[in-house]
Amino acid sequence: MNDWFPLWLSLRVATLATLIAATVGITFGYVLAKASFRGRGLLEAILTIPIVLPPTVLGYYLLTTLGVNSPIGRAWENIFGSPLVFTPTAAVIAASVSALPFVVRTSRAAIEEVDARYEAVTRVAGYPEWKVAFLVTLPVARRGLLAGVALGFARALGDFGATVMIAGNIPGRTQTLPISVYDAVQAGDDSTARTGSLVLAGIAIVVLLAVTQLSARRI
Amino acid sequence: MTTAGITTVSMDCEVTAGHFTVHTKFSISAGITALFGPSGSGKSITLSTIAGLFRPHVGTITLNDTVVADPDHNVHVPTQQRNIGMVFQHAALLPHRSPLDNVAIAARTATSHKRRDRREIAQHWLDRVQAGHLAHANTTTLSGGEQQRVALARALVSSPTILLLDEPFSALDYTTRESLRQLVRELVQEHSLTALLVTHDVDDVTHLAHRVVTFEPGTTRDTFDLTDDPQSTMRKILGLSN
Repeated sequence: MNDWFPLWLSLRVATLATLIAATVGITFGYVLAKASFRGRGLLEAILTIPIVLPPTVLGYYLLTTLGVNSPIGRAWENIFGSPLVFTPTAAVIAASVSALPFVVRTSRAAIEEVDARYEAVTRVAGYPEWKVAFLVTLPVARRGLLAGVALGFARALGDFGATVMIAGNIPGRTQTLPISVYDAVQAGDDSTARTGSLVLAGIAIVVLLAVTQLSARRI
Repeated sequence: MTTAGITTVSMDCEVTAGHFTVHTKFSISAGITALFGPSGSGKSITLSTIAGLFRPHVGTITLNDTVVADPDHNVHVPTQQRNIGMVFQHAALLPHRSPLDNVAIAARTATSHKRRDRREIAQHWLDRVQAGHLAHANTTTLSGGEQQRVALARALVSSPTILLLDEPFSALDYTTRESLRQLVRELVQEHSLTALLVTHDVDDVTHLAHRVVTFEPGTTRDTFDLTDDPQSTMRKILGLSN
């Protein structure tokens, strides 16, 4: 493999997507763990759907939502002067949405596991709920949260279907590593496909080992 | 030593936690009151309800002449504003913070001091409970007795008038238990606290309590004064409940 652009693009896209998925996902994980409100089950289902939908279908819906003819797509074009779809930004969005359910579900479980007495004594000491969250709940749950973020990163890095639908396959612009592997196979370039696959599999294994470590050790 | 007669905690209410409903009715003044009864009779739920962690669905709770819970009149003073101290069976110290931080965090709202002052006050309280040397220890490696000392400092650092103790000695060995009882006795006297102690240990009641509220599954039964002859009063109570 002599073109390293897909790897760097993938790493950049996955990092940004992980930041977004971590912020949004941990927030939703906290809300699902703590709040009880009408429609919670529905919200959870919507947040989980990217796991079970075929990635191309997810990509199709993203395309419908963000494409040049959609209200969001038009608003984007008015503000930034060019379409959102088929850009690296679109790849970040696709990867974020794919990664989100992993962060939501893992962080929800980690937050529910936090001993309620830790939170109770902090409330008794006079702290408002948001401070209890930052002082106690999230730090105590940090291993689980990190595990969720790591899974999200792995998922973001590996996304193919949704990314190819809304970011396309433009070499040197939106062609991420998984897409370049597909491209290389189609073109009979076995060496590029092999190297790209090896790199992705290696990163996936490292992330999974990290997740196992994080969830095995309890404080 | 009790400032007898002045009611500081008064409960007459019903609270449901999960599928379990507890009816509580008692009025107590300063000093140590044991909530005594079999496991699962609703003692801990009662304590958490005083703290505001559970809401009664009917009835009232009055702390120091302030109605803090009265669902009929939409009164619910949040936990944060009830100014109480609380200690659990297993100390529930924040594992990711040092013992000093655990106490200093609790010092924040009551004192509105700067971080450095808070740590000074926290150190003072750790010294008071004979845990000053543990200020910077690893919280997760403290012994049960050490953890409860730190938890007591944390409960008292914000100068509450009401102290809630949820089986604080039950996980400790005999000697540690004795010295912690002594510590609680001193602290309650020094600060004229109203302490509520959940226990099913008869020794806790006879060694420590000024009065006892007895529990049966799902309800309080009676309140007994223990200042005269705790031993025989307890024998009577145990005879009654058998």
